[in-house]
Amino acid sequence: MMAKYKAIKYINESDSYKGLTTEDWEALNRGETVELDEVPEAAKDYLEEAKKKKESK
Amino acid sequence: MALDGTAYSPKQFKLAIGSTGESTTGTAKTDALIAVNIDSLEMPNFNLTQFMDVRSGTSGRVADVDDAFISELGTTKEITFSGVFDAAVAPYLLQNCIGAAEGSDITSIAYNYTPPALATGTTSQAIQHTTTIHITAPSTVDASDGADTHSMTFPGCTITSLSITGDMANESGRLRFTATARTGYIATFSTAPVTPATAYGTSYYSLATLAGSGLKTIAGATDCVVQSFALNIENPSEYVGQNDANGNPESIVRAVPEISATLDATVKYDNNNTAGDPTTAEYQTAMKSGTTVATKFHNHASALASASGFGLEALFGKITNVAYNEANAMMLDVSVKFFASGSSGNVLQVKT
Repeated sequence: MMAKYKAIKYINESDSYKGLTTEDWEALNRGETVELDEVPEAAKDYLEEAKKKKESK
Repeated sequence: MALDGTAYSPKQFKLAIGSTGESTTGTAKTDALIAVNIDSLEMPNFNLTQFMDVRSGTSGRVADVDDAFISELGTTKEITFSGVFDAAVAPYLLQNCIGAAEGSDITSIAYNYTPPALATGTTSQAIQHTTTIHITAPSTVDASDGADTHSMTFPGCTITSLSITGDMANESGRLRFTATARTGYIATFSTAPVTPATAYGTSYYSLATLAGSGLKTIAGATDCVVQSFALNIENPSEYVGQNDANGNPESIVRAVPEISATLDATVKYDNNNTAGDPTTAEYQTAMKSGTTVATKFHNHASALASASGFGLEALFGKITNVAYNEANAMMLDVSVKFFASGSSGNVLQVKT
């Protein structure tokens, strides 16, 4: 299931960019959130699901 | 002392490899070893520093024995071994050579492949990082002190070259391999014999099973009649730095300048024309025009992941050589180098 993720620390390029596409890897290291269908095993220690912001009333 | 009448068979010498990688990079592994079904054992190349030139100030025009300098510090040892690519040891050799963990029995070179970061002393390492190779001599007890320490241990090994071959004219198509491993870590040349926890496998891959409705697309030509093939993976390793005064390296640099994968195959010359696909008779035109050719070689009708046994898939190849091979029928020797393409997919996938 697709979900949005962000990096919790810098992701180095070793292990084939942790199984991420190069574009996603770059975006995550820029602090952006990316949408992933599945988190690659090697990237699990580097990512967390981005929580949706609560809408202000 | 009298002569020793005991003689040893070359087949009494064994090679074992760590099946789960080293717990700590560069520290010899003694558990979870698996024997490798090798043909014969070659003495490793020690590459010791041996400075034996004549120095100034010698008594005559001869080298003085006191000037000789021999050291293992900073040297890289190399071991080449070949044997049966059995189903037990195959995944370990493949993962260590490529430097990537398998997933669903498939080891891949991704389009954006980079090797793992390897540094001395890193813990919780796996087979795709470093492994230990033990060369075990048969029990050879010293008459003087009763010691039996004539085996060798090579920690921190990486497999830099792996060739997987299959030929219907050799061992009925049973797959075989030749591997070269390197290490820059200090080896032990006098260890006690090691008994691997796991014997080598008795399940084999065979070219004969790549049959039926499977895909036999070689260098773009579909439904090839394949006589033999050799899949060659080269992943260089350099051991750099000084971790300690013993001469152990600080880190291991892999895949510089590249990890490369090539295929050499011998297929029947024919014009088995699937619409839109080249045939083996058209290899030379595909080579001249630089056509990107796919190779899909496994026993499933469409998907490598659904295949059983050994298989490989590489979708972006360029033919690097084609030659006539005059056998019982006219055959063609074709060579392909595999590439990455775009921003997804793989250079090569191998199923074991």
